[in-house]
This record gives sequence, structure tokens and C-alpha cells, in this order.
Amino acid sequence: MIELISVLAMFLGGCALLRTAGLRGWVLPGLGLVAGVALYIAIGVVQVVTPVVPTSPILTLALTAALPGAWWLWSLRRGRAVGVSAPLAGLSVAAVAGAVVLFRAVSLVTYHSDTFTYLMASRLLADDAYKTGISTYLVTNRVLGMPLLHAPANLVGDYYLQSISPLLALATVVTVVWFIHAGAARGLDRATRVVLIAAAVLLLVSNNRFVFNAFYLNGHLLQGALVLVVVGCGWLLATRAARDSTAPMMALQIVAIPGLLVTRPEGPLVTALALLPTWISDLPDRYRALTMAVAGGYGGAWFGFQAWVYADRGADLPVSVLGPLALSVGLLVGAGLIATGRLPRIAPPVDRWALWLAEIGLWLALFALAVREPGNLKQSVVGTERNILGGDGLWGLSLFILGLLVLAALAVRSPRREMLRFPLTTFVPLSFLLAYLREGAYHAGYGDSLNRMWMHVLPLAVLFVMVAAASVLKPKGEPTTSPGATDRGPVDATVHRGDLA
Amino acid sequence: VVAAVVLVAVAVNLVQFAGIERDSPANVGAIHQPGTHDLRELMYHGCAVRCLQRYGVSIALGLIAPGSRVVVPDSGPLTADRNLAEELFVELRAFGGVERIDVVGGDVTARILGAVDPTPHILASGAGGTYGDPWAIAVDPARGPASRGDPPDFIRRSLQAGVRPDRTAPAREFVMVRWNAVDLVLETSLLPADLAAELRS
Repeated sequence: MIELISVLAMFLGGCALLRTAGLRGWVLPGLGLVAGVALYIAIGVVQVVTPVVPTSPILTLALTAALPGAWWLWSLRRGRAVGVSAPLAGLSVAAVAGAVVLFRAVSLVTYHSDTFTYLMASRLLADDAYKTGISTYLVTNRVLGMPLLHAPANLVGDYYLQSISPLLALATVVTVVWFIHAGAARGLDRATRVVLIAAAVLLLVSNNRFVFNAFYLNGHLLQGALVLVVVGCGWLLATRAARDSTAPMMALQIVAIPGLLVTRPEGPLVTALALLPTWISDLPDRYRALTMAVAGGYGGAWFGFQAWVYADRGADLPVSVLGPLALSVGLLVGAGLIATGRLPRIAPPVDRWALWLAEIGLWLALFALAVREPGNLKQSVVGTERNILGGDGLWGLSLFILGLLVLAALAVRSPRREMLRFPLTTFVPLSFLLAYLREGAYHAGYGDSLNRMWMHVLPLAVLFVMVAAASVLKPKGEPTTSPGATDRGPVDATVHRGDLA
Repeated sequence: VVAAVVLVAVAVNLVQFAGIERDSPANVGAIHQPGTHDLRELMYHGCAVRCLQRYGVSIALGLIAPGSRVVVPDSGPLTADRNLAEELFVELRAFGGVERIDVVGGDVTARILGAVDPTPHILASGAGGTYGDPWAIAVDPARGPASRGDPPDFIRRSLQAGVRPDRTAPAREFVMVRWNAVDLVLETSLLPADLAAELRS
């Protein structure tokens, strides 16, 4: 019963949030679940970092459902058009409830040794023993996203929710479909659009490791979903392709930021790379400042909490805590400067140069570390080659072929494609850099960190390929997006000025 | 052409799916139906060596006496390494269901081990290895469980019998010390009353 309540609380909370923001139609249940999971994590983080407030998942679930629910009711009473079809809403709830029952009945689960350390943190959260009992190792290495997600199961003596990962996998597929439908496939005829969407779905669900991650007790699928949402929403907003969904996309992107920060140890770096295209885009200043403030605020709170744990346990503060803390302070300052108009907008085409400079910077940093310690990179490359091509990583040839498709897609121009490309291509140097910052080099084997981390960009890679495919398939001269959102050149920055008013 | 390229990628995915499943250890295959969702059983069947070496003492304590209090003398080797002690305490809380852990001052380890021979009271034990030290749990026979067997077989036996932590049972108290290179969890009611009271205070 607690599993059903937990999933429905996240589902209904997320749906209420996005519906009140203006989203409607078939996509609402899928994006609603993603938004609900993200909101649940965002609330859970606040509970963890706030003194005195208990970390009980009951409170997290109640707030996840109640806060957006109250906003929805308030909006409805004020006469805003946020109503829903009662039969369809009932059908959606019944479908989610049915899926929970089904996934519990079939009891599919995959796991390995890391799983248990994440679930230890989960138990402490549920017992309200996290703040006093968490170790310095776990608080920095087995971070909050996945433990928070499964914490409710501990209320009845279980350690994990059996249905949330497969449901999140389904919602991730729906999210990819939505981005293609709303952004890339505009201007295509119905048949081509259907083929494109079917191809994306098949590319994901036929991939053995995607299915594995759908039942895997770890944070990789969650991270992949959040990367997709943060990057995809930024791209969709910048292309102006889905004007009627501007506010929901803003809400979804913002609510996903905390989760992206706290699901992996490298969360702050990934968040910065995922949001950099948004921050230097031509989206309204207030929106760019808000996303930056959320990243800086949540980052500061979470790593401030980590610093407190280290101090409380009498341990020295590591760079892995101090660095993100400094980054968070920088983001808060940046947000303040943007909001007050003191940070001038980077005009095109310099904004695109900034992305290239950032990417080149990552490669140069990797080069510098490789010169100093070549063994690490060499071992990582050899291990990764065996995982991707040699079968050790259990990917078969899927990742290699998808990589080829991404390379081919890089040659295709599409509106604002750099917003999708940048977080995808920077994943490679960032990952190999992380090998220098963590315990050691990557190695051959399915349990290797990088081998599992490819899931973080798998849905985004499929989206990137499909966006390129849509561009190729579009008739010549077909406007792909709203005026102003071009492959290059300035964009009308006033288009969305009213969205946050 | 675009459709054909993607179709080839999908076809490759599908063709190799079953092969990958065959090559995968069960717990990391895409479709794994272990027949249980009990985490202890998953650990036992899918992570036996590593998990039982590392978490065995906590799992066993959770099956015997969830909700217990564990006292750890500060002077002993268990707390000498702060990081290892932190990890141990998290494991005891998470998998052992330990409600409270108290680190107490004073050199009481020698007095504890001099006061009682734990050997006849050992209910569960593990050999240790790369991922953890050998361990043993000695319980007061008056407080159960009544049925006993081979201590190294305790976890397997309990899981097979469907034993679940009884959170309604009265909380019990243990002290954890290093005994002949073994991490010993000893029920304090086995100790002389004054020593048990000293630990309690």
C-alpha cells in the first residue's frame, strides 16, 4: 500500500504542477511523473539540509502532493483554465496504480554492490537518522537522489520501491517522444512524425542496458531522465517551437535542477554543463537568473550540509565539498548580477564560442592531467574500449552504433542544436576527467562506473539523433521553429519576456 | 535512408539482446526475476561473498534483534579508524535495524572478555575475508531464539525459514568488541550485572 501511495503522490503532484503551469494532453501523465519525482527529491533535499525538520518520507510525500495540489485548486477557483477531464484523469490514475501492482507482482530487479550502499542511506532517511548517522563517505559518494526515491519503502520494512524505476523508464521514453513531437517534428507530415517517434522509442526499449536500468536499483536512470529534462527543456524553450508549453517547460526544467545536483557525486559539474547553454541563451534574464539561483541555492545548501557532516564528525573538508560550495556561491552571485542587469548578455555568435571554449577547456584539462599521469587515461580508454566494443560492458554493439549515429547527427544543422550537443559531447572529456578525481581509472567490466554512466546521456543521445533526423527529413524551406530561433544569428529576446511576469 | 539506418540500429539491439542476457550474471541481466524482493535474500543470492563478508554481522543482528542498542567501547580497535567506524555504524543501523549506538569511554573490553566466554552463546558467525572481518553474535539463551544450529549457517537458515525482523519485540542491548580478531556482538545480559549497568550508564 505504501508503494501505491508513494507513486501516486509523486504522480499526482507532478501532474498538478505541470497542469497548473499550462501543460495539457496525452503527455501530461508521462511528464507529470518525471516532474513529480523531481519535485519529491527537491522537497526531500530541503528536509535533509534544514535543521530540526525530520527527513521522514511521509512528510516528503505529503508536500509533493499537497503543494502543487493546492496551487492547482487555487488556480481552478480563480477561474484559470487548468481543469482536467475527470474520466481521463481517473484512467491515468488507474493505469499508474495498475502498473504499480503489475511491477510488484512480477518483481523484476537488478542490482550490484553499490545498490546496497545507496539503500543504507535510504533507510537512514526513513528512520530520521540521516543527519546524525550518515558517514562522511556515504554523504559524498552515495548522494541523495536514489536514497530519497526509495525511502518510503522503509516505512513498511522493505528497502526499495519495486515499481518506481520501471515507471520512470516509461516516463523517460514519453519525455523523449514529447521533445521530438513538440520540438523536432514540427513541419513534418504525420506519417514521418510517427516513424520518427517510433524509431526513438524502439532505439531506447530495444537496448538491453536501457531495460536493465529500468529495473536497476541505482541512480543512473534517474540521472539520465533528469539530464534529458534539463537539457531538453532548455532546448525546447530556446527554439520557441512549443510556445503553448513555455511555462510548463520552465517549471519542469527548474524542478529538475535539484535532483540533477544530488543524484550523482559529479552532480554540480553535470548540472553546470547541462544548464550552461540555457544560461548563455537568449531566454529572458529573469528566467536565466532563476535557474542559476536554483542551482546555486540548492548546491550551496546541499554541499553546506555535507560540510556540516564533515565538521560534525571531526573530519577535514575535502575538495569535493569545497569546490561545489564555491561553484554554488559563484552561481548565486551570477544569478544576482543577471537579475539586476549587471551581467551583460553574451551576444551571438560569441555565446556559441563560449560553449566551444568550455568544451575545449575540458579537453585541455584532461590533456594536462594525462600528461602528468598518462596511466590513468590509458587504462580508462582501454577498459572503455573493451566495454563498448568487446562486450565486457554488456552493451553489445548498441553504444557503438548509437555513437556513430551521434557522430552523423553532428554533421546535421538544426535550430539551437548546440543546446543538445554541448551536454552530450562534453560528457566524454568530463567522464575521463572524473577518473582522475575519483578512486582511479575505469576498467573493463559491467560494474565499471563509466560503463554504467553512459545511461546518463543515452536518452539525450537518442533525442539528439532524432532531432538531426527530423532536420534531414524536413522539406526544404520549411520553417522549423518560431521566428527568431535560427541555427545561427540573433534571436528576439523579448519573445518570452511575459512568461515570468 | 534515415529510417533504414535507425532500423539497423534497432535490429542490432534486438538481435544481440538474448546474447547479452546469456552473458550477464543474473543480477545484472536486463530481465532478472529473483523470486523475492527481500533485500537480505538478494544480498545472499546475488552478492553472497562481498555482502555477507561486509554486512553479515548487521544482517544477522537485524534478524535476531532489530531495534536493539549497541555499545562500542571507544578504546577498542573498532573505533580506531574513524571512517571504518562510521561505515560500521551506518550498516548496523540500516541492515541491523539498530536503534541506538553509543560509543563509551574507558577500557572495558578486557573486563568484558574476562567476564564471560562467548563461545557457547554464539548464535551466528561469519568467516570474513577481503570485504570484512570475521564476526560473531553471542546471545543470551534466555532471550532466544530458541532454535540453534551451525552459527556460520545462521543467515541462510533464517532466510530459508522466512524469518523476518520482529520490530515489536522488546529492544535488546549488545556490546561490540574485538575478540581474537573477531568482531563480537555480545548481549549485555550475559555480563555480570554491574558491568552491564556500567555500559548502560
